[in-house]
Order: sequence, then C-alpha cells, then structure tokens
Amino acid sequence: MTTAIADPVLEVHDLTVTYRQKPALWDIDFGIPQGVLVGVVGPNGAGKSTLIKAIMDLVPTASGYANCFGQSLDEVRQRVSYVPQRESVDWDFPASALDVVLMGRYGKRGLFRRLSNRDRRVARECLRTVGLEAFADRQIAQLSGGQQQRVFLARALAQEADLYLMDEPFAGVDAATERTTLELLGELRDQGKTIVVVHHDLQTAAEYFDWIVLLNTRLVAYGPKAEVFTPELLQETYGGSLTLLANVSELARKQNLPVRE
Amino acid sequence: MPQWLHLDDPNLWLVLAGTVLVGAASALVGVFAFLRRRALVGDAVAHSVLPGIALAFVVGQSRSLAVLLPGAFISGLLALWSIDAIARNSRIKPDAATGLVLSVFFGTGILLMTWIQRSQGAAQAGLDRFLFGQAAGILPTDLYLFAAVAAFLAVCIAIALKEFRLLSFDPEFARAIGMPFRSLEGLLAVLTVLAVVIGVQTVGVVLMAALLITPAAAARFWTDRLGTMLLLAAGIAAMGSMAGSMVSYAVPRQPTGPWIIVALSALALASMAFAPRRGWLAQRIRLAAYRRKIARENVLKAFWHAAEEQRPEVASVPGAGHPTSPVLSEAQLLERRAFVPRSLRRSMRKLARQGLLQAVQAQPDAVSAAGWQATPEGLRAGARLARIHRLWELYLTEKLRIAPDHVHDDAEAIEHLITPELEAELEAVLDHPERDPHGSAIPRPNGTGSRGKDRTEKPINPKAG
Amino acid sequence: MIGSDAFWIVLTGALVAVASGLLGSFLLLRRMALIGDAISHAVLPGIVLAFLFSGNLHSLPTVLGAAAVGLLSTIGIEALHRRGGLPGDASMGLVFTFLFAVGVIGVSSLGGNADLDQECVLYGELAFIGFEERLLGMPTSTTILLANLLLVLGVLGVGYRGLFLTTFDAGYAAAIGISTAFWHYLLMGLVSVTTVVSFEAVGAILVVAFLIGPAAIGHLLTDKLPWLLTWAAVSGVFASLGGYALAALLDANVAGAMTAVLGFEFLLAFLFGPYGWSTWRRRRPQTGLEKLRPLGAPVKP
Repeated sequence: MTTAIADPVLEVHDLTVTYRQKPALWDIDFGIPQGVLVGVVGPNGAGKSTLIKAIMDLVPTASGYANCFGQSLDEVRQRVSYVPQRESVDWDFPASALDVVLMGRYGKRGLFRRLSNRDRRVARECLRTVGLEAFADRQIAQLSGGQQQRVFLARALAQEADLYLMDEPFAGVDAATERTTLELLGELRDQGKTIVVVHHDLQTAAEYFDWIVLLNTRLVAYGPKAEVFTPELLQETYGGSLTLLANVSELARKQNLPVRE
Repeated sequence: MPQWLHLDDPNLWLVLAGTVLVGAASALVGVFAFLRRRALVGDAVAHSVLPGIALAFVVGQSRSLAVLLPGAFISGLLALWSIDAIARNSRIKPDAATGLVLSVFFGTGILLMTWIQRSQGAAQAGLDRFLFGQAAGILPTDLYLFAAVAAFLAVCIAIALKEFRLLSFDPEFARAIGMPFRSLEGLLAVLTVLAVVIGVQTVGVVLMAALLITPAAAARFWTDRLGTMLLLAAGIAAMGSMAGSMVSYAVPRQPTGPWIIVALSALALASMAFAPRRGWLAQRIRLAAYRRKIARENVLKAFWHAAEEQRPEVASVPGAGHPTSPVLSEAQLLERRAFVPRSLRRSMRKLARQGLLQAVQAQPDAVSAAGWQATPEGLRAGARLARIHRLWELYLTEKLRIAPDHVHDDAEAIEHLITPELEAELEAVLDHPERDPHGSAIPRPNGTGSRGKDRTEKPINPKAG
Repeated sequence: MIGSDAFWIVLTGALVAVASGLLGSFLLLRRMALIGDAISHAVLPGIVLAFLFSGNLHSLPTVLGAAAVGLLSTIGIEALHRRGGLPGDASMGLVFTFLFAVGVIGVSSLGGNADLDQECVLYGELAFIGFEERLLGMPTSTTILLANLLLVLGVLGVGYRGLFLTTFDAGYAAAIGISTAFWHYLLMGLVSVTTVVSFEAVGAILVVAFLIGPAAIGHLLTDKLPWLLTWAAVSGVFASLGGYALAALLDANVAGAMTAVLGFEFLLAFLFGPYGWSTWRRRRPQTGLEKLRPLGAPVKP
C-alpha cells in the first residue's frame, strides 16, 4: 500500500509526533497527488487531527517533516489553507461572519495593510458560495453549528489556496451543511485543487472521497479508495489495537525517556 | 544559640504556633484547590472577606474575631456563589468572573474600611491587619480559635477523604454514581472559606492564595498519593510558616506573612528541582544515565556486528559454537560508528569494569594490534541488542506497514528501551522470526547465531543495526 | 481648588480605565483575565527595585524596568507550567504571590519612605493626585497615564487585526504564518507598562478591576468587537466619575469607590444586558439536543 507518487502536492516523510513522550503518530510516510479529495479515516485517538496539525507545523514533531508543493511549508503558506475544528474557537467571540471570512485575506494582505475592496468582494463571494450571503453581518454567536462550520469553509476559500487541510468539517453539522460542503469540495477538486479532510465517519467516507488515508497511530494504508477500502485493511485500522506499540510508548512515557534519539 | 532568638519569649511561641496552625490548615484545603485546578479561587475568597469584615465591625461595633470572622465567612461564601452564578448564567468565563468578583469585593471592602476609618476614627486600626496580615498580634484566644478551626478542617477532610478524592479526580464519575456532588462541592467551599478566614490575618489578602496553593504544589512533586500529599503539604506549610516567623521575629521591621510566602516558594522551588523521580534534577540524571547506557550498548553492538561479519557461519549456524569477538582498536570503532571519542572511552572503561570488555595487548608477532575485545558475556549483550533491533524493524514493517528503508532510526532508539518482557512479547507477536526485513539473521536469545539454516548471499545491509 | 482636584482625580481614573479596559477586552477574550491580576501584583518588586536605584517613581527607566519584571513574570508562569509540570492556574498563583511577597518585603525594608508604602501598593493615592508636581501642565502621574493611553491606542490601532486574529483563532493565525508569540508578548508588555504606570495612582487592585470589569461589561452588552472596546472605555469612564462622587460622599478611598461603582455597573449589565442573565438561557445555540431538554429543566454545565 505504499504507492509511489510522482510530484506529490503533499508529502509527509517519517513523521513522528509525541505528546509527553507518548507517540500520537509513528513514522507516517505518504504522498498525495494533485487534484484528489482525500479522507483521513481512523478510530478516535488515532492521531487524525494531530496529523493535520503536524503538517501545518502547529504541534512539535519528534522526527520527520511534511512538504507542500515540494517546498517547506513556510515558503508556500499562502497556497495552503487550514480549516481547524469548529470547537477550537470560542464562538461567543464578538465578530461577524464577514469578519471571520476576511481573516482568510490576512495572509495575502499582511496584518498592517488595509484590506482592499477586492478583498471584501472575494470574502462576500465566498460567503455566497457556502450559502451564507445573507448572514454576512450576522454575529457568529448567532449562527448554528453548521453555519459556523460553513463560515470556516468560506474563510478557507477566501485564501484562494491550492491545498486544503480540513479538520472534521463534517462533525456535528446539519444535512444542508453536509451537502453544501460536499458539493464545494467536489468543485474544488474539479478545479485541480487538492483537499485533505479528517473524517470521523467510516460509513460515508467511501462515498465522499477519492482517496483514503487509513490511520491508527501508524499509517495502515493510503491510496485510491477502491484499493484501500478492503475489509482486511479496515479491520487492521479499527480492529485490535497494537498493544505492543502501546506498551513501548507507555514504558517511554512512564520513565520519561525519548522514543527518538 | 544565637543571641537574637529568645526562646523564652512567650510571644514567639504564640506566633509560631499560630502561623503553623494556620499554614497547615490552609495547606490541607489547598491540596484540593490545587488538584481541582481552582488555585485562584482561594485568591478570590481571600480578597472578598474584606467587606464582610468591615460590615461586621459596623454592626457588631467590636474588633474581636468572634464578631469579625462570621462577617468574613459570609462575604467569602457570597463571593464564591457570585463567581459561580456569573459563570453559569452568562457568557463570562469562570476566570474572568473570578477576577471580577475578587476586585469588586476587595474594592468595596476598601471603600467601607476607609469610610469607617474617617467616620469612626482610630477604632478601625484593627481592621488593617486583614489587609497585610499581622502575625505578631496573635493573642492566646486567637490561638484557640485557630486550633479549633484547623482541627475541624482536618477531621472533615479525614472523614470525607474518599469523596473528596473522587471529586478532585473524576467529578463526572462522582456525579454519575450519584454522589451528593453539590453538597460535597459546597462543603469544600465552606472549608476553603474557613481556612481563608483564619489565614488572611496572618499573611494578608493578597498572599493568602500562596498559603493555599504553594504547599500543595510543592508536595505534588514528592508523591502520587493523596493521603501522603495532604500530610506533606501540611508539613511543608508548617516548615515555611516557622521559617517565615523566625525571620520576621529576628530581623526588625520585617513582615511575617511575606517571609512565610518567600520561604514556602523556596520550598516549592526546591521540591521542583530536587524531588526524587518527578524533580528536575532527578529527571536530568535519569536522562543522562540513559544516554550513557545507550552509548555503552552501542559499543557492545559494534563488537557483535564485527564478530558477525568476521564469521557469519558461526553467527548463523546453530551449534557452531559461540562467535568470538574480534579485537578492535578505538580507531576501528570510530570507523564503524560516529561515537563521540570522549564518551566512547568513558563507555569502554565502564564496560571493562563490568567485565563486558577487556583490553588486549599487542602481540609480539605483530599479527594483531592492541585494542579491545568483548568478553563472551559482552558479546551476548551485543547480540541481544542486534536481536531487538532486528525484531523491532520486522515489527515495524510487518505490523505497522512501514517501508523497510525507514525503520532503522526508529529501531536504533527503541532497542535500548525494550525490557526482556517486551522482547518476549515482540518475538511472540512476530511468531519467532529468523530474518529481519533486510535479510539479516536475527540472533538467538542466548547470543549465538540465528536458527536460520543457511544465510542468503545478500550482504549485510549497511543500514541494518 | 477642590473643583480642580476633582477634575484631576476623575481624569486620571478615566485614563487608567480606558487603557486597562481596552487591553482587558483582549485579555478577557483570550481567557487570560487573571493574568492581569498576576502581572499587577508581580510588578511590585520591579517598582521597589527601580525606586531604590532612581529614587523616583516617574522616570522612564523605572517604568520600563518594572514592566520588564511584569513581562518576566508571565514567562516564569509559562515556564513553571510547561517545564515544571504545574497546572497553569497554580503556577500563576505561585509566581505572583512570591513576587508580591518579595515586593512587600522590599517596601517594608525601605522603611517609612513616604512615596511607597503598603497601602498605596494596594489601593493607591488617587485622592492626592492634585498635589503632585506638574509635568506639561498636568500632575505628573496624569501626564504619564495620558502618554500610556496614547501608546495603547497607537499599538491597538496599528495591531488591531493581529490581535483580533490571534485572539479569535490562534491555530489559524499560526497556520497562515503569523507569530502568535509576538502578539501574546506585545499584549503582555502593554499590560505590564499600563499596570506599572497606573500602580501608584490607583493601586494594584483598581488596575485588576479596570482590566477585567469594563471588558466583562462590554462583553455582556454587544457582539461586535469595536463596540465591546467602546463600551469598555465608556463604562470605565463612568466608573471613574461615579467613583469620585461616591468617595466624596462617604469621604472614603477613591480607588475603592471606583471599583464598587464598576461592580454595580457590571451587575446592571449582568441583569439587563442583551447577553446577560435574562437572555442567556433563551439564546443558547439551537442544537437539536438543547431542544430535547424540557422547558424549565435545570441546565447542567
């Protein structure tokens, strides 16, 4: 299941992440080609969100690295758009939907230059794309969970990126949002963009994505869904945990010793 | 005995007993505040007793603690209730509610106290001690009160220890099994306010938080058990209180409360640095020892690899006898692996002392140069490492589906970590394999070659451990 | 003369209130309200030390030195939390009480030095502001506080978007390459400087009240950040006015009175504000689960 990818848009190499010495991700190694819609699937605590955060350089890595477009992330941040989990922010925050979407333009415009009319136009356009045009000036606290998620999507769109990394955009949203999001992801893919989505629901994963990354602390498999969605591989991902690996990590954690030299 | 320490001065004993009682009582309650991540709630309560004290003074027209403390108690509880009510019923988060209640109650207290001062004259002077604490003024009757409160706190905690443990450790579970959650929380709040009420007049409102939290934080570094932690925290608080009282007694013009806090902070810092196991130094030492163990094990492994290369048939054919270690010079070892020369020499000296390595003199016939040789025991230890390394590589490729050319670095780290039990588990999980993913034979547990009948022609992978 | 005294007191209180209210709004939204409490106590040893060296509380080096101690205290809190393994709130309590204790010991050691005593540390000498030496036509503290407010306004004006973004969604900010540490320490630095310059005039406790109170009031009144900032400033100014009146009425401490008025304002906002107690339960997001809860059933946190 270690398909070699020529010119990957996203390349993850030997990535290991530890939380207080306990590995959350172990030697993850894969590549994603351009123009596919990828679902990252695995049980709870498998390190799915950690993978996205490690790619975005938001959590420290013990070893390995991730490249985007063959360059280190710092060189191409403008082309990579990140959608955090909805729960990661306080939605009581005093901001309007448009305020949040405009944040997507900060990267391009810098923090100190004025936002142009074009920025505002793009932001409103993005809100329209996710079906929230009428809610532009609505305070985010007054939006439903699904609408809040769509605001995050709109912000990612406003960044006009080529690679999208999304953390659980389908978690706890209504049917309308799910449909809108899915259509949107399809359109982006058809425009040649690459989208990596952390997804919690195995049932819908096969239906939604072109490619699947099966993750459970280690990479079980990745590739086109027809190849990866086999009973054996799913069993391996969701079935019995790797007690030995867990024991070794536990030993390292208890004695506070590094699992990497 | 130093001149300044008048041990026959009854006042000194009064102060010592008072501060120790107050410190220990606060520390007991503080342990739960610490464990429940409510460290600053005590701060809020301490600031909030002020208006209660002022109003009690106005109503009771007396400076005696019997009048003032009930006022302090009520206003402390009211503050706790307000924090809870604000955080529960609006978008204001608990931390902001805490800070808000703290400052508003305190400011109101200052307002009332200055008002009393101006309108009622000097009688208010006694209230000042609640602001900054005034341990020197402890009276024998105060001491009885402190002792009674401290005893009450200790008894309550002893009785409800099991419940409080659950409340601190797993409140969700406590609720789920139908514990009287609110009552327990309420009881803890009452105990906290009681401790604060007797504590503020020794250390003052601002430093009261430290009297609650600092001993608990210090104790946390020494133990994982709640009972021990409570006793330790009380002990640490008593030590800090004594030290602080002594300093302020011995040195003119020095306030007691702040010195108690400084002493407690020093104890906490020392605990953080020097406590066994959890302390900073202990962790450093453990890590350094582990690094040295890694270095030594890598030396032994290098000898085993050399033996394996020299006589592969010995290494792989069962019953062919034990392989013998070649003689390697320091330069040759450095060639095999990027050892740090200084640490290499240190490792070899230690290994020689352990009887795992021996020095070999140059032979007169000049066939073999001077150097070092692993003893059979040393070679066995080296073989074990190579064995774990190759087993782990196999585990990663077979069970974790990691590509064979990616597993070496990982195994280099893990081989030093694995215990004999994990080694056995590893072998069982892999069903007693014979070759690693690079084709190298996996040495047998007794340090001789693998069970493999013949060795493939494939050269030893340079990356193989 | 009384009238002009009153003017200076109210103006000085308002200057502290507006600067603290603006900074506090960001602290509140970052869930760092208590760090203001910690800093305002931790700067004391810095002030004492600087006072020892320069013999005066108003020089620029004094302010910067003391503010540096405040900033260092936040780094110390971080370090105890991250490296020492202590919970965040406990490390905060540990650090600020220790520094405050050291400061009080320093104040006591200074002896009867009139400029710096224990009472002034906690609740300030705002009532005597009118007697201060003049600097640029105003009492020295007032002038310094005005300069501080201009500094705060300037930095907030230029850095509004950076603070806005890193406060709302630090993860996203880091993802698009913005240094969250820079904005964090910029805010901490401003809080430290504001605390130090406010310290002598109003005392530690009013700084804490002004850092948290106005922001909390604003948060209950509006859902827009610019309005939150405005409300914070306005409620702070009103507390300054009302506090002076109350203090004059009772002949009591001005800082304490301002705090009490602030508390009263908060109570009003809490009871009647659009996002206060009266509307909180009705407004909670309409997720399906909430609807299942029978009307009148208690809300579990």
